[in-house]
Amino acid sequence: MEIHLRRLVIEGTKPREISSVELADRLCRIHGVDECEIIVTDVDSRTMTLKFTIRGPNINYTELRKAMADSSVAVKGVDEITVSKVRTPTKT
Amino acid sequence: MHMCVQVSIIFGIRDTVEWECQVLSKWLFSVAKRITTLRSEIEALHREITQMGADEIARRYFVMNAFDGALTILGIVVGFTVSGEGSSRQVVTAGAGAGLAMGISGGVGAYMAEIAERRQELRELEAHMHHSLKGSRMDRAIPLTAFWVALVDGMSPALAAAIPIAPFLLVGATITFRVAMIASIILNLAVLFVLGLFLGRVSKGSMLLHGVLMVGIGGIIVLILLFASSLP
Repeated sequence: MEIHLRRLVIEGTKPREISSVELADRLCRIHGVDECEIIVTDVDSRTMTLKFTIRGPNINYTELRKAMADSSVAVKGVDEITVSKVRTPTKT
Repeated sequence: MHMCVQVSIIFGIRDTVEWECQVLSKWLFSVAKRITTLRSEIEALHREITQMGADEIARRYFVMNAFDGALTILGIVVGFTVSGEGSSRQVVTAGAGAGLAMGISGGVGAYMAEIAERRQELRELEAHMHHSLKGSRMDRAIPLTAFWVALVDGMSPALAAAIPIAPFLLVGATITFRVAMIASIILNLAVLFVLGLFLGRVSKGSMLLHGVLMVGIGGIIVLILLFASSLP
């Protein structure tokens, strides 16, 4: 039996120079991610605060954090997490 | 028997040709794939450079430094014209030296200045975000964008200087020194005109007007130099 990470809601800040569309594209390419939603919650002169909603059958959280750090996103916190139990088929 | 041998040779050749065609098509496919990958990598690099605002800075440096290069050579050629002395070798040496010096100083200076400015901006951004951006894409893009700006800054005056010097390379074999001087001045004004067209396109204004304006500035420079040289 395995536990799969299916949904994450993360709040983060990114520089304005980084494109949100490209960021969403990049995050969606991560293994186990099916959908990436970004909502801009705040804007200032140099940065934008975003709410990321990541959905997928089995999100690779380590890879997700690396991709965010590489894209200059500062993660403020993980606000919502959804995990589920997946029964592995037994061999008969 | 003889017929059987001939048929088997033909089938053998056909199989060999088919195999060669398969190998060739696989090779062509891998080359096409590499070209596509290279193209997407170049597009990604260009996106990085554009996102960092380097395109705008590179355009500015291109116009400023090409203008410098063109007018420097214009000054050298007009100076030789007025003095009535000198050989094509001297003009080419002086022009090439000036173009090379401008290119190297422009490139190195721009690279160091851009690296310093962008690192300072990154530090300010890190302080604003309360988050280290070391190792991020923005951090990695700094030397790349500085290199791009430096390349434009170095190449533009060198190129703008090289074009008007070219006629002097043909002196002796094809044209006389006087003809080369006239051709050089015309080429120089043509370079200024093209720069004006580029400026007009960037500013979305009248390309022709900008071109004429730049040629006018070049013409004024020539007149000032001629006037200055006529003074005792």
